Parts: sequence; C-alpha cells; structure tokens
Amino acid sequence: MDSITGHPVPESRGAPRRIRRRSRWLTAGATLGALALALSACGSSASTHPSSSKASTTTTPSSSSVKPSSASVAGLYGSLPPTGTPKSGGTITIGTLKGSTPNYAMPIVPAADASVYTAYDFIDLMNQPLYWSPTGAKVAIDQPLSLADLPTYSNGGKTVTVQIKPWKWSNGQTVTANDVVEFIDILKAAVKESAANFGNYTPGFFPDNVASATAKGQTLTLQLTKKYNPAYFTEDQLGLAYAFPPQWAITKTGGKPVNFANPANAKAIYNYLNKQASDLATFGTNPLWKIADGPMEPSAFNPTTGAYTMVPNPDYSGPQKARITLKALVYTSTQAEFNNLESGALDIGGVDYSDLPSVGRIKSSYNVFGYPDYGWQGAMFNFADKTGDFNNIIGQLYIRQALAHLVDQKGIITGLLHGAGDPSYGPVPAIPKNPYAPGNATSAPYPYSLSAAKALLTSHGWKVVPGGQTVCANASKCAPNGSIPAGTKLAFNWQYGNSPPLLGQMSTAFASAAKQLGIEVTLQQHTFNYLIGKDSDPSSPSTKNTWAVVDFGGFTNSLYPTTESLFNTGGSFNEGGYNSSKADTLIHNSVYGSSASAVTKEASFLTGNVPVLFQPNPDLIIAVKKGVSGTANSMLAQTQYTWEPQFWYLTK
Amino acid sequence: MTIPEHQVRPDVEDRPEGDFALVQTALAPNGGAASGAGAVAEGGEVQVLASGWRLALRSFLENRLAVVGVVVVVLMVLFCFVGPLFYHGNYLVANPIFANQAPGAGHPLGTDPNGFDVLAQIMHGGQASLEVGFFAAVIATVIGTIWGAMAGLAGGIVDGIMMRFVDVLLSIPFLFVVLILAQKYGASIVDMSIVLGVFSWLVPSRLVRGEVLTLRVRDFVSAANVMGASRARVAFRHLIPNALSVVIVNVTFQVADAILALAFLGFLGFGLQYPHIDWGDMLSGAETALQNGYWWQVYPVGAALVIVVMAINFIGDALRDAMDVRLRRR
Repeated sequence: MDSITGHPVPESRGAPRRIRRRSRWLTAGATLGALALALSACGSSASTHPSSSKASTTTTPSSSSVKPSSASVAGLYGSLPPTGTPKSGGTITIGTLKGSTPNYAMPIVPAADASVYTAYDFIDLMNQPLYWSPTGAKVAIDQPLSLADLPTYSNGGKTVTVQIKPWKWSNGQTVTANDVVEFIDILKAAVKESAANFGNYTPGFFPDNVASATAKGQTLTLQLTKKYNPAYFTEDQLGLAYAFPPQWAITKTGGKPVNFANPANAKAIYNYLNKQASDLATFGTNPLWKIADGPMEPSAFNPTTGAYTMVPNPDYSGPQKARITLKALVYTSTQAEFNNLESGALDIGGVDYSDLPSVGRIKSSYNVFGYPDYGWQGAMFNFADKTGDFNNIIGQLYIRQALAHLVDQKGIITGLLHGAGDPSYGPVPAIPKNPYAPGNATSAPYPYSLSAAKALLTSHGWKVVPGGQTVCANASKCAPNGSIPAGTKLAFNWQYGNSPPLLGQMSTAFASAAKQLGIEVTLQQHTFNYLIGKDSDPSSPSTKNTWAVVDFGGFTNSLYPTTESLFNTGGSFNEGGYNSSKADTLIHNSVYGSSASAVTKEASFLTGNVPVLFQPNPDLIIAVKKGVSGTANSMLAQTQYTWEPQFWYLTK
Repeated sequence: MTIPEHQVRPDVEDRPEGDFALVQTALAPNGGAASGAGAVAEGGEVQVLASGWRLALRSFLENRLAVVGVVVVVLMVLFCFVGPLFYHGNYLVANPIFANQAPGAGHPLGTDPNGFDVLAQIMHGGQASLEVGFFAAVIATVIGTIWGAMAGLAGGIVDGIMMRFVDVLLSIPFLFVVLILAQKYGASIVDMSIVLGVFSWLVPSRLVRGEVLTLRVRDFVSAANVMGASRARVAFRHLIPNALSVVIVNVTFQVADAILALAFLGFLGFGLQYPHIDWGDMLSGAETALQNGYWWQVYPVGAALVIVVMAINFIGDALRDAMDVRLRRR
C-alpha cells in the first residue's frame, strides 16, 4: 500500500498498513482502515517531572459538545486540555513538518502520493469516509462520525448491505448510496488503468473483491467475490470507501456529469479528477473541492510551502459543525516547531522526544499530553540472511526468545522516552485499548533478563562468553537439524535509521546487552529511505544477505490488526521473510474466517513467536495552547494521527 | 634550507648527501667567516656549531605555545590511555534508567542518554580520536610523500599526470567521499584510519613534490645520478630524507585534521559505532543536550576536542618555524 515519506513501498495486500518512523512521527498518517486524518507534526510532551508521567487521567466531559468526552484514559501522558466554554469563530493554528504537507486533493490517492505525510490529513477534512476511526484514542469505529451505519452481512457473508446516512453535501444535496457507487466505479477504473493509481490497492482486494455495487436510495448493496471475515471487511476494506458528489462525475472543467457506470466514462472521470487533484496551485480555489461532506472546506493553499487554511463547511451534517478556521503552518524541523511553541506562536503542535526534557518551559502556556498510536515498534529479523548462518540461527525460536530477553523495555521507556511510552510485546499492543489485544500483550512474555537469555543459549549448546564471543559448541543442540555448525559465532549486523536519535539509542542499548552475553552486534546507521529500500527481502532480494536486523521504526496497524501482508509467507511487507505455517493459517483465518477472535489468536501466536524484536511504543505527544480546547476524544484522536477540528474551539 | 656550501660539515659521512649537516657560523669581528666546526678563525672567536636538529629543537623550545602544546598532548594521552586504568567508569553497559544524570557522585561528568559515564566516554573516545588521528596521518603522509617524491623526481609528463590526478582528487569534496566510505567501511578504528588516511595524502604529496623539485637540481642529487644511483635510491636515500622537515611539520597538521574529520563524521552520525566511541559521536546530540540543559554531555568533550586540536596545531606551527631557517629567528 502506501509509501513513506515519498518512498514507494511494495504493495500490500489487504488492509493498508503504514510504516512509521517513530518519534519523528513522519508518518503522520491515518491508519488506514480508519481513514482518519493524519497528523504530521505530532509532538510529545512530558517532562521529567513525576507529575507529567503516565497516569490514569480523568477528563471532564465537555459542556458544549454534542459528542461526549472520554472518561478515564489509562496510560495517558500528561493531561488533556480542560474543557471550557466554546467561543464561536476564531482561528487555530496547527504545526506540520515540511515534507508532510498535502500534495493530493481527493481520496483516490496514488501510490506516489500516498505518503503518510500527505495523503489523508488534508483530504479527510473535506471528504467523509464511510467509517471513521478511531474513537478518540480507542480503537473502534466512531459511528457518529461515520457516513454510514455499520454494515450487515448476508448470503453467507458475500452480500454486504450498508445504510448511508442522509448527510448533505456542501451544495445542499443529500449524500446517497449512489455517490458511494460512483466512488467504487471510478476507483475500479483507476486501478484498472494502473495499480499505482491507488496507493491502498492490492490486486484481489478492494475494489476487486466487490463484484457489483448497487444503490437504492440510501441503501448500498455490495456483492463480494468471496466471503471475508466480517470484521476484516468492515474495518479494513470498507474503511477505504468514500462517497463522491455527483458533480465530480465530469470529464472536463465545466462539463456535464456523465454516466460513471460506463467504464469508459469512469476512466475519463478519473483522469480528469486525478489531474485536478494533482494541481497544488488550485487546492484552495478549485470548485470541485468546495463540494464537501466533511467538516471543512479549503480556502487557501500555498503550493510553495504547503501551508493551507480550512474553513468550516456550513452544511456539514455530522454531530458538530466546525467553529474555527484551521491554519496549518509548516516548519522545517521539530526544533523549529518547538521554538514556536516556546514563543507561543502556535496553538497546536507536536513535541519531539528530544525536546521532552524541555517541555517544562512551555507547560505554563500549553497543555501537553501523549499516547501511543495503534501499532508496534520493533527491529525486524532477516530470516533469509545467510551471512554467518544467520538464517539458520534466527530461525530457531529459542534464539529469538533469548534476544527478546535483551530488550529493556522499562529502561527504554524511563530513560530514552522520558516516560512517554508504553510496553509492547506483539503486533497488537494493549495500549491503546482495543478489542483485539491478546492476553499475552499485557505482560512481557520475555522480560528483560540477561540470565534468562544466557540460560536459553547455554541449554541449546552455545558456549556463552560474556564480553567475548559466544559460539555454538554443540551443533546438534544449537539446531536440531544441524544447520548451525559448531564454532558458529553468534554475531550479526543491525542496521538502524539515523533519525530519530531514539533508534540509535535503542540499538546501542540492545548491542550493549548482547555484548554482555558475548553476542556481537555490529551497528550500522543508514537513512530511513535506505533501510526501506534495501532491507526488504520482497522488494530488494539482491541485498538479502547484507542485513540481519533492521530497525527503522514500526508499523501503524489497521483498525482490524491482522498482519496479513506483514508476517504471512510471501507478504509484501514481510521485510525479513518470516515464515511460519501456523502464522499463515491464523492470518488466513483472520481475513477469510468467520471467528471474531481469529485476529486475537493470530496476535497471540505472533507475540510468543517473536517474528520481530518488539520494542516499546512511544507516545505521540501534542501541545495544545491554553485557551484552545475541544472534546476529549478530538484531542486524543490527535495521538492517533487524526484531526477532528470540528470539535475544537477557542474558549471564552 | 639553503646554507652556503662551506658550512656543510664534512665529518658526518653517514648522513645522506645534501642533508646539510647544519652548522651555525659566527662572523669574526673582522667580518671573516669561520672555516669549519671548532676552528678558530683568524682575528676572532668562533662558537661551537650546533647541528640543524639541535637548532630546530632549540627554536621549538623557545616557542612557549609549542611547549604548552606538547604538555597538553602528553597530558591528554595520559588521560586517555592511562586514565582508564584508574577510573573504571561504565562506557559499555547501557543502562537507560540512569540516563542523562547530572555530574555527581559516581559520575563526575554525568551520564549520557544510554546511561554511559561521560568521563569514561571522553577517555575512551579520546583513545579512538588520537589513534585514528595518528594512524590516518601516518597513512596520508606515507602515501603523499612517496607520491610527491616520485612525481617531483620524474618530472615532465609523468609529473604532470600524477599531479593532475591529485588535482582531480582535490576537486572532490573530502567530506563527501569520506562520508560515503565511512558509512560502508568505517566500523572500526583501523577502518576509519584507512578511510581518512587514503583521502588525506593529497596535500602532503604536493608539499613533498614542491620540495623535491627544489632538491633534485642540487649538486648532491646530480652527483648521485652521475654515480649511477637508481631513481629509487635517489628518492629514498636523498630526496625524501631532505624533505623530512616538510613532512614532519605536515604530519602534525594531518593528525589534527584527522581528529577533526573523525569528529565531523561522528557528529553527523557516520563515525565509529558501539562499542567504539569517538568525541564527534559524543557531540552528535549537542543541540538537543544543550536545549535540555545537559551541558555535561557537550562542554567537557567539546573542550577536550578543541584543546587537543589546538595543542597539536601549536606544535605544528612551532615545528614549521623551527625547521625553516627563514622563520627560525623571526
């Protein structure tokens, strides 16, 4: 599916997935299925003072918002802005980072533009997805903010019926099911023309798996090509769907709408819309983008800097109309953004980890809070690297378990993240709260313990030489099939991203722990783009013997957190070629089975099987100026790369 | 160095020809020149003549900054190489729980983000910096000296080709090339020394070539040629030894430059990797550290870097002055 910071990533299958570069949060992107807005500039807060450490925070419900505020938020870092009496009007400025500014204006985002920086944060302000998520920081579809009611499945799961809410376009017309059919038809034309026309496209999945889409009033009926797990299809596949206004079904400026059901027309429509959506200079003025069913409309866009201004859509039919004008400002670095926070020139901005110890300097003027986004951070093994027999070494579960024992999650959270993070032991974390986290997500299956790691190695035939070089002393014990010859060194290289510094610090911490057991870890620093391009067996097989472990950040999960494409054999994001028949079966069940607990079983197995070295999930930290507030959910949503400015306001 | 022929000491037979066994003459009151070492000139008293090296040493020691530089370098070498024998701070076992601690008991210069002891890091980082600086300088000097001597001796089109090659390499940004190579090959001290050394020989080669060009037309070289000396013998027996003053001076600057280059690489994140450490690597987070008030992660190591480089430059300046008779008694 997507790309990261402009770097194309091999297509994924199934749910869109976002690679993230932790801490800088360059991936400010919506989690896919969730289609939320992406926040590029997130920040972090937190100080070194105990008062700012994680706690269970209770927020006061908004007195004015339609949407109830969230109650207690376990694990929240800092404190949310207190609610106040909303003032009508005004402007709120929000910081974004250079390189994370919009470069496309409609929901069918091409692969080349589907960067987490640029794709949905801007688009979803104007276009309402069928299903909006998360709900605050909770991993769930936000039904009041969704354009459709939850779907029903019939015909053995192959027929999906969706009721579209009678919301209004900004021109006063009602949003109908036919508008969704229009989107699907144009999307089909787009991917037929080129798979690269839709960054979230994977052949065989949405929209290919929709055999037909019909509309009757507000009722949308989809006939699927095969049966899917309902949760998967709803949260991951339908999460990609939008409605297109009838006025978009044109092939030239000033033209009359044509029948989009005709594939030739649909192709012409797509080509026209694509051209318009790529024209940055007209983002703020093109009448096409003024027809919105989202909470805001564009009023100005600077094609040079990427800064833009959004104004309320007066016809927005959601639970709360926007009250403020939103101005997205662009900064060249997190430091520059923090400087502006210090000067009070920015209303909402992100705080990078590196600035956490200084956050006390802005606390008198800002409410600072943070929360981990829904995903995981980790270092990926390369199961295909034959250098030094690493493929045979890392293929042993006990080795992976021993290495997992060397990740000091508590130390990383306390020392490197300054408390702004949560432990994470598998692909589905316990925090943010979600319905899919397995039981072993809440406690470390392989807690930090050098002695436990040493015991595992020793009992499997390794001669552990602390501070020296650990070698295999008994080949029959090191690997049951004898694939690890006696004398084999437990040594490998570990490549990590040069930004943020957190990656290097975590890598050093691991190498240090490994050295104490005689495991030689050679650290190598590279750019993020290098790692994504070279350290991927599916997309760069020629370099598969050049890296053993790569740590570039992590992944943001889809709302339905199957690891299809990530850990299934041959998955397009299976960077290190992890191969487990049991994992394949469990992943298949998650996508095509009917059990609601399938994905939980999948996550539980993977948590124990250590396909990657899981690391703590850092918080995404936001600073909100005092005098600016919003519902608790709309504030928390920012930690999930989601903007809900219709709920933001200036206080009286 | 140009010294009148009559000042050459004829009694030093082992010395390479042309290595003007330097003597210093004192003019007799009547203006006559002494005729040789220890001779008593007619009409006046003659000083005992010192060798060129002794004069250079004397000149060097008269330079107070140079003496300070030597003392500083010696102290820093002791600090980096002997210090760890007495101070056993943790620079290998990461412990993030103790990250960013201010100077205090147990950690005289505090800790870094991984909980490493900063004082111990400065010691071990200094080892790496000094070792890389020295090895890189030696590599650069050896290559540059041989290359420059060969070019200067050969002359003509060979000299032109060799020096144009140097010009081409000089036109390539040094850091650009070194960054790329350091990324791929600079994992250890030896690797980094080679990377820096093989791209630092260009200036020495020019200096040596220039010196050789002036030497090769001297009589002693002509004599060696007439006597059938091979080119290699002329180069290694006569030319290079006589260009040593230039080489030695250049070595000191090469050491300083290599230390700074390693610091640049480390600052940019392309320096040595754990378990090695260098001063530049310690400074890579300087902006953030200062922003957060962690001065102990910046100032001590920054000061060490500046002091060492400055001291070596003092030494280099003084050596240049001492070995160049034109500058010796400014």
